[in-house]
Amino acid sequence: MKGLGRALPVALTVGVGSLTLIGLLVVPALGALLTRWATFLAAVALLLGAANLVRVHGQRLADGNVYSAVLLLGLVGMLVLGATDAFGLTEGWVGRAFDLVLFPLEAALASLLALFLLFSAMGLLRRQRSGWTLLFLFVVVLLLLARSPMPEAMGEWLVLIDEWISALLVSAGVRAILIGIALGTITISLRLLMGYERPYER
Amino acid sequence: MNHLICPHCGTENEAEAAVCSHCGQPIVAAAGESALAAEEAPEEELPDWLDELTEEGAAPVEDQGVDALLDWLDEPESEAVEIEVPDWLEPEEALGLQAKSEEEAAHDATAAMEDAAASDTQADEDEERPSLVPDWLEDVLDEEEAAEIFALQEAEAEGDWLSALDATEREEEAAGMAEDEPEWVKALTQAPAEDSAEDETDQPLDETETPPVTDPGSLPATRPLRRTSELENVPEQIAGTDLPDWLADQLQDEPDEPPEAAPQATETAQPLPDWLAEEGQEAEQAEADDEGELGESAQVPAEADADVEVEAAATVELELAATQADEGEALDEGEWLQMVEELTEAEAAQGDEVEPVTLNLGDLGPPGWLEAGPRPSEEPLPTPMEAPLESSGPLAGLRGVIPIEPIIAERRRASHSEPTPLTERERELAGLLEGLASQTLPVTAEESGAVDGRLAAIFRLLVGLGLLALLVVGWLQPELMPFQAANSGTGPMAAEALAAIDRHAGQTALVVFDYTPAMAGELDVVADLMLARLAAADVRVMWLSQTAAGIRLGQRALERNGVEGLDSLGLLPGEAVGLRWVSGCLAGTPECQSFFGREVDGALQQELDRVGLVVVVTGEQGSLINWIEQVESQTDVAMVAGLTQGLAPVAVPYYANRQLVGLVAGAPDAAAAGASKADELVNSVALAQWAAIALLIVGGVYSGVVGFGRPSSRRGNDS
Repeated sequence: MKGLGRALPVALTVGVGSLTLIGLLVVPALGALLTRWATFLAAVALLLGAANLVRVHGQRLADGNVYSAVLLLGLVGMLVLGATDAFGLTEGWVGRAFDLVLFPLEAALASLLALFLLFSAMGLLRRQRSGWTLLFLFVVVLLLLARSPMPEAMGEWLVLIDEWISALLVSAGVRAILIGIALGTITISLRLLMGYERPYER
Repeated sequence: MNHLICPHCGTENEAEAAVCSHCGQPIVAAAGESALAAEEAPEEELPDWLDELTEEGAAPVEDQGVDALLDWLDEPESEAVEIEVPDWLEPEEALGLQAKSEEEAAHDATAAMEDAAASDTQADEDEERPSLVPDWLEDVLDEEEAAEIFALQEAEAEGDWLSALDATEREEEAAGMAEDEPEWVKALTQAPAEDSAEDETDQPLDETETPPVTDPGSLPATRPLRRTSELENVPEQIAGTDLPDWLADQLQDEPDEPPEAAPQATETAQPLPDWLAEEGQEAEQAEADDEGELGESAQVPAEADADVEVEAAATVELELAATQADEGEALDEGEWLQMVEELTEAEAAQGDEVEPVTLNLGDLGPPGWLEAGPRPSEEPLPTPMEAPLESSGPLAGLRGVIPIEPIIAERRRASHSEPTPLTERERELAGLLEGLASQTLPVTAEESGAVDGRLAAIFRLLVGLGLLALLVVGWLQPELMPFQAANSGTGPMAAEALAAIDRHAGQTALVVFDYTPAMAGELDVVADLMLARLAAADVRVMWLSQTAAGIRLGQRALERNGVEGLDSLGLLPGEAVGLRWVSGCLAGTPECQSFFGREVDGALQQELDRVGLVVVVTGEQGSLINWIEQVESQTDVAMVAGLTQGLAPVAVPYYANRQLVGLVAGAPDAAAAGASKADELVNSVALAQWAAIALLIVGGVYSGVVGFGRPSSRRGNDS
């Protein structure tokens, strides 16, 4: 029974994956069908995720976690506002709640990212002094200067340098990264189809 | 606890030790004489009688060391004459006898004395007369006492004890045997021998002077020695110590009387102790009853008291030894015991002529500890003669020295023992200790760098406040910025993106708002630029988002730019899979019957079929790649991207191979393209951006110059 419990998910994964691959390559109708199922399952997973979120933070709320109470209150509140907007009891309250709560908070947190990057760059030499560190800081300063308001004569040279760096060095590096991502995706896909990779058992 | 003193090196050893732990010499060689003769005969071999015993598997004779003697001296003196004998001579289990009445004991004691004397005489006929007492007894006996005892025994053995007192003959024999004695024995025996020669041996004893054999009370008195200091040439180990009470008690009646004042045994009989006096009286009575059987019926009853017998026998031995000492004889213990055994055999051979000696000390056998033999764990040690003689060093002259240095210097393989199994509790304790130990370093580092940490925090706070102030100033006073970002000009990629929008005029464009409020500050201006351009080109807009926040951001962007969305496709779940489904619908596949819960009717399908441009506004790499790989590559629609400056390098390769028609890289590109809000944003952040550049340069120079004097720290404070 235990062996069947392990073999069944593997068989399903290998079978469905192979069918999807075949459908995308040979039988488009089959591929479209499986893709639709997948999107439907993704929507269901979203609801399951929301339900799991309520369960987990409900347990934490029972343990006295105040932050879980805030989360659950916000979740229920947005559901209620969405329902009232949907049934015409209110108009645009979900949008207002978003504009007044979520947008400022998330924007404020993201704005600190600039300061964090700045302090990290300043502390980089203190923690790890090497030639690569100096090169990194040099490029950062150069690109910042190129993308900031500068005198016209100086700005042209900086723009040329910026374009050369982006088109040659950065593009080459990003292409390498993308190729690596593609190869990794192919490898993982093959492992999934062959049953070597079983993320559903974790 | 008793200890044995090695007669060779003087080291103190365990009471049961057979050999010295220091020099390796056998301690047993000095058993019974270690206290007196260790120094004079350091390599003396075992006596014959001890060799015989050891050959039978017995252990060497137990040594009676100085400690044992001192223990005896500590005991209070008793008025009774108690002759303490060695352990192996004691008791019932050795003799195999049972207790008997005092009357019988007295009779047996008398008989034992007679038998011992007879055996002595018999032994003299066959060989050179041996000593009847061991050396340790000879050393302490008075010469004249020994002479008297020996004369009595010899006379009894011959039947006419008066005629046996041939002093001249004994002197000759003693002179010859004295040559074999150790020097210290000679010294001990010399002075008393002179006195006794004058007093006794030169004068034949008459019958009246002869002590009555059957009267125990007429036993000769001993010399009142109390301390070994009264002896000459005693071993160092016992020099100055008191004599054991079993020897000193013999002299208790006249403790202070000098040796020369000792009365003649034949003139004044020593008062016997109570126990011996009673036995003597009873013995007299027994003699009166059967006088003729005296000396013939010395048969020891089976029920005789063993202690009394031993004491009586020891008394006889003392007398005989005193006699021999008077003549200068020095016989060892082995010969003494052997003589007794031979006497028994001789008497048995002679039949009724000599009464059999049943109180045969030779039949006692070795004591239990002697029969036990050496301990099994002990390895056979080399005999003193086998062991090499140490020729140098502090141990020069000693045998059996074991060199330790080569043993220590010998190479040994380190043995790795198996890991000790730990219980769960022990593992928890070990983990706790490890955790406590690991917390020591951070605490120490924090304490040592507390000042630096506070300064760094203050510095960071000042920098943050300064940058915020510059942002506010740049936003409120953009004219303070001497240079405008628009001067940099529109980049080629942004121009391509705007041109692609213009080319799709009158068509339908699918606008994707895949960004969150975190990136809204930069991407809103990009989205505004593109929506304004779409509106200007009269492009119908359909929009969607893969995030819930993106839905709201899209609505706001459409409202800001006055663009009425043709339709909202809402939230797009499933990421790559969902985009794959979108590509199928854009491609007009018949399988696209629904669009994420919304039925694809004819109107919707027509709008989807008219989509010729996809505008992706995103700040996430995954979203960009998925849209390019799952939608653009599966359809014929063109795709432009509005990205953040940071994400632009990722999109450049796709732009290079024309998967992206064009892209707008953040607020600078949007500002360069003429977006007013983007221009204000760039100008407002320009001051802060310059300040950041200055800080990086100064900080880099400072760390590069000053920081090179300090070691690099990977875990230090970032300040």
